[in-house]
Amino acid sequence: MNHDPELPPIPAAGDAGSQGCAVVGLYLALLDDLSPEQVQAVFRHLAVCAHCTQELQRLRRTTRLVASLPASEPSPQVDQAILAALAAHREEQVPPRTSTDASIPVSRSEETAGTSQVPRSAGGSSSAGAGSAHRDPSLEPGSSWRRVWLCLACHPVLEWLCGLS
Amino acid sequence: MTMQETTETHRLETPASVSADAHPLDLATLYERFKRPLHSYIYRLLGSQEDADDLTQEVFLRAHVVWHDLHDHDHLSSWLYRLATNGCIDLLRRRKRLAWWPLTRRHRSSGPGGAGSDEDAAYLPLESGGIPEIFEREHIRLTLASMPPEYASALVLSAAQGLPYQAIAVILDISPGAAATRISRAKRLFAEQYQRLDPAGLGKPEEE
Repeated sequence: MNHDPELPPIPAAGDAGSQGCAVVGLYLALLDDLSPEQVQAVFRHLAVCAHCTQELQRLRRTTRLVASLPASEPSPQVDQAILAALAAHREEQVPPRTSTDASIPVSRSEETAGTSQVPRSAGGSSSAGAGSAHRDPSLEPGSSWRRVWLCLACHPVLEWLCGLS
Repeated sequence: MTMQETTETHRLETPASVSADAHPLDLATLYERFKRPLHSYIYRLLGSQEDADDLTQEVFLRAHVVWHDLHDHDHLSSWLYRLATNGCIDLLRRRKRLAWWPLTRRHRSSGPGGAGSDEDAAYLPLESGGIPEIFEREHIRLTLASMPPEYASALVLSAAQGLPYQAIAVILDISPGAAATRISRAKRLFAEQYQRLDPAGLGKPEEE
C-alpha cells in the first residue's frame, strides 16, 4: 500500500492513540498525493478518530487558502527583455562557461549592482546584454558572496556602535 | 484560483512533461512553457509583482549562463523551481533581517514585555481597502511571510502549485520522507499562524 518506503506505515483503524494519530496526521497533509488504497486506509482511521477528522478540516482549509492566491505572469517589458536576451544567446552560440554552479541563490542586489545581463526593457541593447554575460567576472559566484559575507561580518560591529550612541 | 486551474498548473509543471516534448536545447521554448507557473510560484511566495518579475528574470538569466554545462536535461522543471526557490528564500531571509533591525531598536527603547511577534505583523501593511477577498489574500501573505522561508516554499509548492511531495523533494534536494514531513509541518504552522493573526477567523467551517 505504501509506495514510499520512507513514510511510516498507516496504522490500523483501531489504532487511535497519539502515535497512530501522529502518523495519520502526516498522511492527512499529503492526501492529494496518496494512492486510492492509502486514502481508504486513512479514512478508515478517520471514521473512528474525531481528533484526526478535525485536523483534516484544518489542513483542508489551509490548502484552500494557499491555493486561492492568484496566478500571475511576467509583465510585458520583462517578458520581451528575457525573450530578446534568450534569442540573442541562441544566435551567438557563446562558448561554454567553466562554472557549473546552478543552485546558487541569486539576489536582486546583484542585479542592481549591474551584474544582471538581461535588460529591464525590450528596447535598445538587449542582445549585447545577453552576449556579454559570459565575460563579466562579477557574475562569478565568489565575488557576490564575498560581499555578502563582508556585510554579515560588519553587522555586529555596526549594531555595537549604534548601541553606544 | 480554482481547483481546475490548480490541476492545470500541476499538469504543466510535472517534470516528466518537459523532457517528453520540449526541445531540450531551446531556452526560449522552456521560458514560454514555464514563465507563468514559475512567476506565479514566486509571486505567491513573495507577494510582489516587481520582485516576481525580477526573480523570474534572474532564474532564466542563471539558466542562460549555465545552460551549456547542464548535463541533466530530464529534470528541467525541478531545476528551474530550485533556482526560483533559492532566490525566494534568499530574498525572504533578507527581508526578515531588514525587519529585525528596527524591531531590535524599538524593543530596546520600549523595554521588556512588548508585543513580540505581533509587532512583526504590524510591519506588513494590510492594503485591503475594506474588501473581504483582498483582506483575506493579504492575510494569507502575511501568514506566509511570518513562516520560515523553507516551510513557506514547501507549502506553496504543495498547496498552490499542486506538486506532489516526491517532486518537491527533488526541488528542495531532500528525501521524499523529509519533504512529506516538511509539508505536513508547514500546513500546521500556517494554520496556527493564520489563526493567531486572525482570531476572528477561528473555527470557520471548511467549504466542501
